[in-house]
Amino acid sequence: MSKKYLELEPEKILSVKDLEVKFYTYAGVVHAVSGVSFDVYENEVVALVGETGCGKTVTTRAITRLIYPPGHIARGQAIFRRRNGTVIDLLSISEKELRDIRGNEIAYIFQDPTSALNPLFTAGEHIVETIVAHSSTNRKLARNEAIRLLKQVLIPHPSLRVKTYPHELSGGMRQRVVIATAIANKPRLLIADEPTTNLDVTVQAQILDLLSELKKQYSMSIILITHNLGIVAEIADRVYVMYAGKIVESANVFELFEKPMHPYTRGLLHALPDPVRRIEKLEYIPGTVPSLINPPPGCRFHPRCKFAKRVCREEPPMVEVEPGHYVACWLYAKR
Amino acid sequence: MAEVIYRGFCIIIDTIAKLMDKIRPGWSDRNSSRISEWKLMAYAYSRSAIGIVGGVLVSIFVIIGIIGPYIAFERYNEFPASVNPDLYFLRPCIPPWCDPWSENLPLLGTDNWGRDILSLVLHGARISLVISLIVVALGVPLGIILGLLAGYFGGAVDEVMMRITDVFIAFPALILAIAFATVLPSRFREVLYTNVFTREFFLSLFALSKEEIPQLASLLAVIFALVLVWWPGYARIIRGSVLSVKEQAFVEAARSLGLSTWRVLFRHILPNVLSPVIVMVTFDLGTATLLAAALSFLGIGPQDPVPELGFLVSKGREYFPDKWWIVMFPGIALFIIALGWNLLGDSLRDVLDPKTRRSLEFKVKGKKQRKFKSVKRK
Repeated sequence: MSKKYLELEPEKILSVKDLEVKFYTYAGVVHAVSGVSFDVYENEVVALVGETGCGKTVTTRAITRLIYPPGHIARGQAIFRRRNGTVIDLLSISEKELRDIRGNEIAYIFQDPTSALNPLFTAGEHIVETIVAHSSTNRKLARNEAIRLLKQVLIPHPSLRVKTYPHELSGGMRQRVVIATAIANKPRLLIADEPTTNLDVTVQAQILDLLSELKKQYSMSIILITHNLGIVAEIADRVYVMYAGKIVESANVFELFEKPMHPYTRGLLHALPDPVRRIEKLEYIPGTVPSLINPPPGCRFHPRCKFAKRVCREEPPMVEVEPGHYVACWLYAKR
Repeated sequence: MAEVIYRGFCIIIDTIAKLMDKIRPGWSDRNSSRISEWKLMAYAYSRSAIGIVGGVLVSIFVIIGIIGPYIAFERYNEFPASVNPDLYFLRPCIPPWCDPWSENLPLLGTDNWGRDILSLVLHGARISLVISLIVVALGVPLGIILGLLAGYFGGAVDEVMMRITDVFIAFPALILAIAFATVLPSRFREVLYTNVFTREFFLSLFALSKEEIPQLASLLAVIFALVLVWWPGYARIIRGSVLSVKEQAFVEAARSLGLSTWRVLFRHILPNVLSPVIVMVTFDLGTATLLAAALSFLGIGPQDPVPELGFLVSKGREYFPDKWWIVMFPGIALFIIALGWNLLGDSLRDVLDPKTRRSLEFKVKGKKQRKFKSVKRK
């Protein structure tokens, strides 16, 4: 078998190309992710924005093949540069090699810290186990490392907290433990799946600060999944907007908030209540997210779009409207 | 009474903690929450009358099971009646009505060969204990492993394994065990005759003498048959729990951290599905004893002169109700064993469940409440 020659620009760390994930359910085939491509550069925070059920989580899980039946990764490539500089396609390497990367070079933070921790493991054991699984350190050294990590994620009394069970910790503390576990092996890419959804606002801010602090310290890249545009504005460098399993717009964070192009992005930003003005009624996007079993042809947003034309029933091209600002919409396509 | 038992447990727990401290310095400091949890368990247990009765019955049974064959003053394979025909069917001589010491009569009477029933029951307790322990020790892990694999891997593996389990469950356990127990002894006999080590090991385990090798083979056949009908229940329960646990986020988190399948399975999933099993095991120790006795009662297990409790009952049947003591005392022994394990299991279910245990903690007032919280702030 000849090895495929993979290429990745030097400043990129991950490049997902044409990813397609399907779920075979009784109701039919769910096209959860269809043809998603995106890049992550070294040292940047990429936000993946979209409403619930648009395939954000599935996209990131598919990167390290954490898709289980009935799910199936139909096609695509996820080209990743490892710590030692080798470039690999995460979707075609062996399970063993992949396991070596998970938790080591690519780590996840899941959205619900309550259930992401094993109730029978102490905070320290979670971290120790992750370290031991990926290196030849003994447990004692790993435990010291765990205490150091807990200190780093700003948990008070780390040497005491290391032996507490998840039920003894508050939600914010648990999320810190989850983060400490994720960064235990100094990953190159951290995937944070709605890391602040279940936390209250003050804790949210602390966790976000912590993430950007850690990003600087470990010089890692972060993929941040969220539907909270406030968080995006706060820490992201670049934003990909997803709708119904496709990426509809991508841009620099300032660019996106200044000049949203895609009607969906505009609607999304419009729906944010302005704290300065008195609001009679909250803005919203009419209609609902289409069923992904039978998605509308062409642009998937056209049934809800006020600019919809006949041409929208065909697949829109990805247009670069400004350097680094891409939109998949017929409004901006030169015909 | 309850207070004394609780104190006793606390002393045991503290001693363990001190010992662990000596082996690994700082152990009790690191595990202070675990120790206080143990104490709370001990407290919850000491407050349940059922649990104490069960515990006492079970510990009597276990102690007798261990030392029984040594304190039995007559070997089961000595037949006093062949020397002195007057020793047939002596009536039991129970203290308030009759003094066994001065009249020199057996406490629980003798059987048709003049063997002392008390000695037989003491020996029978050992056999029953060993049978139930081996059946559970082999059957439960087998069920757990098969259930784990079926639940975790799902799909075809699950389908095949669960259909096999269904076959085993659908077939009446006793009939299946009878079938196995009739076919197996000849194979075991071969093994026992050829393999000295296995033979000596099992002979000493059951405290039987060498002439009983054929009987030992049928005892082993009974055990093996029970193991074969024992695992399906566990496999099913474990599979069910695994199905719900494996969907929890921490399992996916463990996978996303790059842990191997076996690590996820045995370190993360297994401990989370084990708690119902612990309680079930205590119940099943009683049930296994009873089922083994039932098999010997039906004549499938060991034959004369092995004093298996079920077999003693079955033999005494011929002389019942005139010579009621031959049936009665082995029967009472079986009853106590089954009752003890069931009562113990019943209270363990409450003690091991953190929720009911917690609710007990809130009921405790004043001084005791401080005992459980071993808060050590530096």
